[in-house]
Amino acid sequence: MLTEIDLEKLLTKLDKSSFTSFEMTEGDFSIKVKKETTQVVQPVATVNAVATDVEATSEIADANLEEIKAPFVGVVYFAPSEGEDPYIKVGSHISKGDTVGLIEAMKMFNEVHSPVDGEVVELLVENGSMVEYDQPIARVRKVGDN
Amino acid sequence: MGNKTSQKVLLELLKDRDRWVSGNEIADSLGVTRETIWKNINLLKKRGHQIQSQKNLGYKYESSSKLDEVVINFYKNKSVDHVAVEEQVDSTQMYAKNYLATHQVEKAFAVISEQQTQGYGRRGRSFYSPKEQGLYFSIVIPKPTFEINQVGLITTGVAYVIAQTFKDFFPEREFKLKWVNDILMNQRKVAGIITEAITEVESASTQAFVIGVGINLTTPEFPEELQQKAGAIVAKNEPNIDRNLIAAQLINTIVDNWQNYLDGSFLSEYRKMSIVIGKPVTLQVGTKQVKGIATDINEYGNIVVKLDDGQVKAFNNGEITKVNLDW
Repeated sequence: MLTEIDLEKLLTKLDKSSFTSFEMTEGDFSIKVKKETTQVVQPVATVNAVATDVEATSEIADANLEEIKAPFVGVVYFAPSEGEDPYIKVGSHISKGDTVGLIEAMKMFNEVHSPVDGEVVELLVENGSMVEYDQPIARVRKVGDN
Repeated sequence: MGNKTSQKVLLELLKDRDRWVSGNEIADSLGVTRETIWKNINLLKKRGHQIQSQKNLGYKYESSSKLDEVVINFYKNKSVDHVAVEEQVDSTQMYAKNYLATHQVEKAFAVISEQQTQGYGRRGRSFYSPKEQGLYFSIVIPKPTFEINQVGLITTGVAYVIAQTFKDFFPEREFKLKWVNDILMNQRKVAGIITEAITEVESASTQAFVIGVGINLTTPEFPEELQQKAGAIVAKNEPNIDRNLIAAQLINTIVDNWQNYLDGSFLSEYRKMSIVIGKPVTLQVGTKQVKGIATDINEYGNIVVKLDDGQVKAFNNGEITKVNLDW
């Protein structure tokens, strides 16, 4: 079952996404959301915290930590193919727009891109595991002001 | 002269391909001499176009053994902007993605190549793409409309319409579908499809789908590791294999059926062509493996499996690594 917090997160994400409608069922719970076409102005995150030089930990409190989230439900892969070098690993420096993983759903492949410049501090799911829509798959410490 | 004139002559022949057309007629409509027409017809024949010529009747276009940009674009529908034809590329998927990255694409665009040196399928697996034997193409579908749960309808729907097009061209052969989107003939894979969604970084919206299709049309033999799995649809020497027409019809069909994928109306036909329903299957889902009997393909194109422990579950993911057809 979804908690109220999950639901709120989901709705916020849907609101920001390009999807105009969404349906999901889990057990006897089901939800159907439809968006009107009016443009919603996205609140701009006001992150001004200065980067600190603390050890790379997964503290949520660190305002420079950003989560990369799954744009689709599916199986996540951190390498373009079996036997190839992974797109990212802990410590990798990545730029905004870089491919960090692939999600496969029904033989459709989606590249997952980094929303920020930064350093990968943690992979939150295992290669080859199933992820839900919007599930965080990696944590990145942002650098610069993007 | 030469090139441009030969293209014009070719177009005249294509327009009248259902009848004999005299050299005089073509010469008149293009404002050139009969001699020029004759020369250009010979040039076209040299390039692999089969053109019948008969005294007192004139010329009649048959087909071509080679892919030809003029011919494919003559056959394409209005919904397709252009079909680029290449002699050799690394892979048509890479070509198409690169095209998308460097051009403003407003309408479906396709590229087809006689040969791929690095043709690939799912998870970077190579797709054997020998010269002039198959049809290897990719289609860019810009700004697709779909909902998140319709992804499986697109991939199964594309496989279904490709199999249907094969049926139209080769009615005496039987084509089957192996979930999600493999097309089989005589239990061997004759076509593979890969679909990649290209996401805009800023908006996280889908900028385009790039659908890659690899077809073993006349491939006479396969590398050892594929010999038990892959097959060709027809023998090279069979008559009336018009590769340009087949390619154009496939591209047209894939592009024009978008709404039909989304409403799932093809699913009942898809199920009839499914080779897995009712059969014991092994499904690889990421790093996990499940076994059971495939009971259905549901309304989202997902496979429904009755697992060995009795549970019935729908999967929107995974690859069938084994299907027991003797069941």
